[in-house]
Amino acid sequence: MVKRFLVFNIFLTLLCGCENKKHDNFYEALTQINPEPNPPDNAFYFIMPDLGCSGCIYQAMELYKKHALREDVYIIFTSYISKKKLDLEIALFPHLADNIFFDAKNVMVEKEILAYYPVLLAVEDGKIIFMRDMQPTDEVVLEEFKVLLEP
Amino acid sequence: MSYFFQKSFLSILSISLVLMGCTNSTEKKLENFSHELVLEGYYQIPLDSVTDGLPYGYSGVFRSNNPNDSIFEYGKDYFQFISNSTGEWLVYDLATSNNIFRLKLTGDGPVRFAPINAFIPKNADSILVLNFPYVTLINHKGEILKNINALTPEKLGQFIPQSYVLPVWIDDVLITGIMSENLPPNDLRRKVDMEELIGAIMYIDIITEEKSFKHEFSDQYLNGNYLSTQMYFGTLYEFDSNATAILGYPHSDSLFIIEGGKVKTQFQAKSEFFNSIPPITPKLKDFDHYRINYCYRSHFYDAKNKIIYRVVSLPIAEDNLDNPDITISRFKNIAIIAVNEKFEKVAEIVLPENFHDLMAFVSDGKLYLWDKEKSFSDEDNIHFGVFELKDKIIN
Repeated sequence: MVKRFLVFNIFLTLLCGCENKKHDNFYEALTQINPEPNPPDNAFYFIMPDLGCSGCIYQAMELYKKHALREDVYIIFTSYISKKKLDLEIALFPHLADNIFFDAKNVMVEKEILAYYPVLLAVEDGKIIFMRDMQPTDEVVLEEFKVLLEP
Repeated sequence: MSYFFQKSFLSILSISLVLMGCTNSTEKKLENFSHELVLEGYYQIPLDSVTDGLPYGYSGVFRSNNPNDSIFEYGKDYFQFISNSTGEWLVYDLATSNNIFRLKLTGDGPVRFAPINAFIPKNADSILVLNFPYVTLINHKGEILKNINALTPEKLGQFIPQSYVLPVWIDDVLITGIMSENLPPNDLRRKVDMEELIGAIMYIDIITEEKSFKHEFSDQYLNGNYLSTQMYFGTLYEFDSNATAILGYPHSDSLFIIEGGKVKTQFQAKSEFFNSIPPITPKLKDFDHYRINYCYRSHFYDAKNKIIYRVVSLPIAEDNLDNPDITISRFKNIAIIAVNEKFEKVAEIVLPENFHDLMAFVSDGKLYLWDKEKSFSDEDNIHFGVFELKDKIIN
């Protein structure tokens, strides 16, 4: 019984460790992209790769567009390879700059937040409650994120 | 030196020697082939100030099949791609590099397609756009001539969102690889049955709108040895005549000549670098499994010289998976296998790391491969290396 309890505790500690790492990595990356000292306690982030699964990016963008004018919805463009495209996109969105971030140095990639698929992330009371890759065959992720976004 | 360190040192030395042995023997095998791919020159396509040179889903070369085409000269090669930044279909005369046609396809254009999974023009009035779940026939004005819903009740699958996975349009039938929703299964312990492996390739008759699924994914998956999503994409290319195509899978050493929905010929086009791909494990992310392993990608057919080129995708070092330089962490280096008309392998060449098949095509007996290094240092042009297969001169 004691052995089981110990194993369970070790498992929980490891799990929490992973979650904390994700949390720390995200906020470290966010601070480098947007040096605003106080990130919001409640927010939704669409982290979009410039180079990645085009179908998945499209689906995530469609959802983002529905909520783009909300104050608690942010979009981070990352995984840039083309400086020309980055400059063209920054020029397109100057008036919306408050909720749009451009990760020109690809810090989100370096911090292992994003690899190839868009990442959907929700923060509640300063804690990350949802952080998932949006893979093309996994409709569940989009649906679960929608539930949080459109309660 | 302690016993432990001596033992570790000896183990590392033995592994290194074995690895060096493998590398040397692979290099030797590559040297023994009769042909080599020679970089003969460079080619570039100019871009305007609002167009970036990364394709949105599709790029390649096409030739109009209509002698009375209103825009494209019959029998001439045109380079085409869809610009990521403007959403335009851009067509260039391959001989002069001049932009001769553009059509807005996404955003506020005459037709609004997104995402575009693939794009196949046959002539100015016959252009197929794959935008899941639709297959849409349009003309050069962007007018929709036909819209076919590719969703079927019996099969779940999507078109593949990758620029190097090319579908073909033979006679009136579109043949395209699909991305299965079952492979790999979410739970890697689940065993799939043979039924789930049937239907790697979708056939859609553009006239009758009839849809069918043919060809199987490898039966190795019956044993529960799954690979990452990208390893299941069936890739196609038109073969010698209009009625046949070459089909390949990223995990399979074979290529298949298909005709009328059936395999006519199967032949080996195997890389010297790997024998099999290790299965994905629950700890490994799907995209990471794809990046750290060898696999096959696209293939092309050079009708002039009757040569099939097959792209081998080489692994990215694990240390580089999170490298913020996307040119290192996303683009896998490539090798090219060449197979002659007797289906004999005549060459396998590892290409310098600046060349990649994100954009690649064959024209007039030459293989054009995107030069990513030049294209990113000069973003007002798309740069290609132009390769030719030649007999190896043995001194």
